[in-house]
Amino acid sequence: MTVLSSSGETLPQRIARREAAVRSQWNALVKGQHGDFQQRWLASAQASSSSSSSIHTPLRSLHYATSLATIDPSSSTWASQLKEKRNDYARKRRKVLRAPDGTLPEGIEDDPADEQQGRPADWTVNNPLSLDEQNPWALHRASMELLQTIETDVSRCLPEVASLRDISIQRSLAHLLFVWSSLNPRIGYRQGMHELAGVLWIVRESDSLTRSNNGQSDPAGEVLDERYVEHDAYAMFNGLMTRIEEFYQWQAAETNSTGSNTAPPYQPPILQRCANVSSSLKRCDPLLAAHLFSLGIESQLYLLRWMRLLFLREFSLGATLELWDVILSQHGGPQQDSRLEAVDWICIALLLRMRNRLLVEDQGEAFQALLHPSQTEQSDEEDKAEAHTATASSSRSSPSRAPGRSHHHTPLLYTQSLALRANPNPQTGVQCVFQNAELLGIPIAPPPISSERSDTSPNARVKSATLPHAARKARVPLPLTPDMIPEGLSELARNVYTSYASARPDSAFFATAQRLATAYGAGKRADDSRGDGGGFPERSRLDDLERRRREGERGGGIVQAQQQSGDEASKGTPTAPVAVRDRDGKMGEALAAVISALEKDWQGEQSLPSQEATPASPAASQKQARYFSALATLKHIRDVLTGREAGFDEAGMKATLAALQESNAGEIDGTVTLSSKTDSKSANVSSTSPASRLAESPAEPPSEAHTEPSLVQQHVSTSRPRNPPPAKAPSPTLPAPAKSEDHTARRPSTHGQAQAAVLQDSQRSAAGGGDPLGVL
Amino acid sequence: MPNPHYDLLLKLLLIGDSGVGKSCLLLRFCDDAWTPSFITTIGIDFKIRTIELDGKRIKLQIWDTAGQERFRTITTAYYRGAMGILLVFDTTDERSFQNIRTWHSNIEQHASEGVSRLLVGNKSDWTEKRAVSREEAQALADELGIRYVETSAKNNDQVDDAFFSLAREVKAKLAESGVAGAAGGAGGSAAAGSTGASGGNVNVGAQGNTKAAGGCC
Repeated sequence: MTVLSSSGETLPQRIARREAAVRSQWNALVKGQHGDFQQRWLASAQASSSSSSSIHTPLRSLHYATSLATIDPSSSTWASQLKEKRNDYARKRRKVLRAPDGTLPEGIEDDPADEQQGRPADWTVNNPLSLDEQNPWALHRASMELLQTIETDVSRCLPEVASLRDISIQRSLAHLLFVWSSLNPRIGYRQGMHELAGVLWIVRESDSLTRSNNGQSDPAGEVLDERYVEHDAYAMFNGLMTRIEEFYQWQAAETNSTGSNTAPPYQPPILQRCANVSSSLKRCDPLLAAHLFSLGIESQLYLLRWMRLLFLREFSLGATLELWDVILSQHGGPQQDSRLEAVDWICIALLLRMRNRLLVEDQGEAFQALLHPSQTEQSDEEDKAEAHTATASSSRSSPSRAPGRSHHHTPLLYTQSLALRANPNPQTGVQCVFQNAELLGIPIAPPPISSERSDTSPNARVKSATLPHAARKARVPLPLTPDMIPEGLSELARNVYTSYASARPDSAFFATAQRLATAYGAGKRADDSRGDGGGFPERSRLDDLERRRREGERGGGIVQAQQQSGDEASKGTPTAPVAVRDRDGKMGEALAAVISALEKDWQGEQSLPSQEATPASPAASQKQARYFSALATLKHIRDVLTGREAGFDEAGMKATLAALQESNAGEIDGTVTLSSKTDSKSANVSSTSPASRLAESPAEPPSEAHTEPSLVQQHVSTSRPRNPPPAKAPSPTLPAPAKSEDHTARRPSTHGQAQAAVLQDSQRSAAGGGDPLGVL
Repeated sequence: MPNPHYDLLLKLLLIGDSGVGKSCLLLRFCDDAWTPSFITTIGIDFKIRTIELDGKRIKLQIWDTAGQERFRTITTAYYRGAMGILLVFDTTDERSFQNIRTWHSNIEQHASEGVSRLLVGNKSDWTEKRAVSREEAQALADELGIRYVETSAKNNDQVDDAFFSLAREVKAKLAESGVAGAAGGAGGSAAAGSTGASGGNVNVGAQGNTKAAGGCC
């Protein structure tokens, strides 16, 4: 039998259990009611699939049979409809397989009712050795050669499925394909068909029932009779091929016609479909489309397989079946989809899902991603393990719905494809990206260090939790778990989740998208007047949003992956579109280095013995407070420059600086420079150069750096007294920037423990101190 | 531009009939693995291996194609920018050997002029089923003016040699065409060699010289 759990059952026990499940499902969904079988089946499958393997969902074959118009679900005569189809198939099979001498291959029953048994009329023409052009044997031999080709492919079909390794089943499957290609010479047999047929075979086989012999009527046993797997799979395959024949159509005489230049070159329909996907991608994600174009990656190179196999190689078998469940029944989609155009839009949704892996500089890397999309979410081994064991994913199930049901969340692709199809524009594209972020934890922006794989920094682990390609290495399950949903969004996310689980593009999807789009709009700064990208968030914009998302998600104290040295940051956004933003980023990073150096110095002073025990002098405590609020100011500027903060808090800054000025009594010259700047873009952080020197940062100081010393330098001197005072909590009258300490903590630190002690200290005291800078 | 961890990037193709073992060769060469139950390639597949050749790091981008005759749907896109092609047949399957000529004319038609080629007879381990003799194959290779290598992906026999020798040939050709394009570079082939090794830019230039359209590598 096909892959069943290895729970120590004997084969008959397993079959009995499987059949019992099929029969019970039949009684629940079919018996006595025929109308909207597809809806009922989908709802039931989605409700139960968290506890059973998604490859074997009882009655899936009937769902496909009704979806592919093999049987008419509105009629209650399923058994008789099928009987007719089965006889028809048997007749066709005899016809195409019969040798010119009237014999049939082993294992195929003859029917005396066939009108022509092939008794040779003229032995001079009809014999295997005849050289006559009309010799039917020549034709037959050509056919048998095709059959042989098919058999070769079938023997390699879905190697992980045990039942398809059975020789007699392989022969049966080859016959199915041979019959179809003989009767459809315009298309014939193409590689790929064998896998589609193989899947339909498995689906039908896992619903098979042994007919009861007790003489009672057994409608379920008739409809799902185990003796007609090949027949019924053929009917489904035929139904599928009528919808996707475009993917396989090809003019056979291609090589012969190439000599003449008169006729326009023949273009197979699948290339047209690939071109359609490319142009639709341009509408939904202009940035990604342009990027793929610039890498020279033609869509046909990867879409051919995506389309021809309906994503079989892109996801695990179980996940693919879940996708087929909704595609084939056009659930919630356009009524008429005779060409299965849903596939085109799923391609777009999939490209959007993996766009971070595609927005890379290296063509090979992007190409690798396109040919192995499922690695976006998990490793192959995990994939296979998921596909081929029937373990219940109970550990992952949450009260709302088991999000761990499918690691690939393929039904979500379908939901998104419907939205994209209905509104093929960048707004919908953005919505999909946000949805992927919210539901699947896929970062909105590509990782900043796309080419670096060997990340050994202490925060690498945390980083992998949010970066898909790193997730493989770190074995972090990327699929949604309740704790991965950003706080505050979780309820909303669950709503969407539920809606996607039922594969219905209802309002929840759009509500979320709306909400996120609004958030996106709010983050958009007024000076951001560029119209490029067609409204799709650019990478820098997405970086910004992603940072904020991650911050909101984790709260304080967790390592912030993004923030490394200025070197990395400048590498991370190579396509940052506007020079000024780029410069701001660099200045911000330089400032970050300054802050880091200052903190390090401060830390060095504070970590002297007896820091907590000794009561601090008033002077020392005032100094500490001043230090913290100055630092808070710097951090705010840094965050504005690097885009971590959306807006510059002018009022808060002024207040803090006023306090500082008072406390410092005229020592600080640079405050005016800072406080007078209202536009964060032009905020003159004049001390990046010394900062770079201090921190030995590789970041290049901006050209404007060589100006007069100011706040930072002042603090460099003031925070380095010859005799460091003992540490003490800062005075509550001056605010300590609790939140900004998070940023500090996020940087890898070689003296982390001692620093953490100080930070905790300052956070405790800051709890009652307010946050005039608004950096919280 | 990120620092490339290689001196030269080469695009190689595997072509030949279905079932001759193209994917197995690729798997052996790139992952040093072998599987008896290999699935049919649909469309194309793609793997990367970086090798060291004469002191240079060469990144090989190897494209594997579906062998089925009718899948020539993507030929143009597939051949574009290819610098080296392995023509693979199965030494136990005479038909696959006969089809080499068809594949070869396909190259003439679609690939850029002067692309390096190599004839590969795979499954050499299966001696009792051999249908194409080494002499026959060598004769065809001579006729086509290319070299012949017999491999076994299963036993890992000569697989590296096949890819390495093709890569070496491509590299030499690039260096040559580098001379042609260097407009009187003083150092002759030595100078061209060193330019060729200096990074991706030169690679693109070399591609231009070999008439590769698209410049996608």
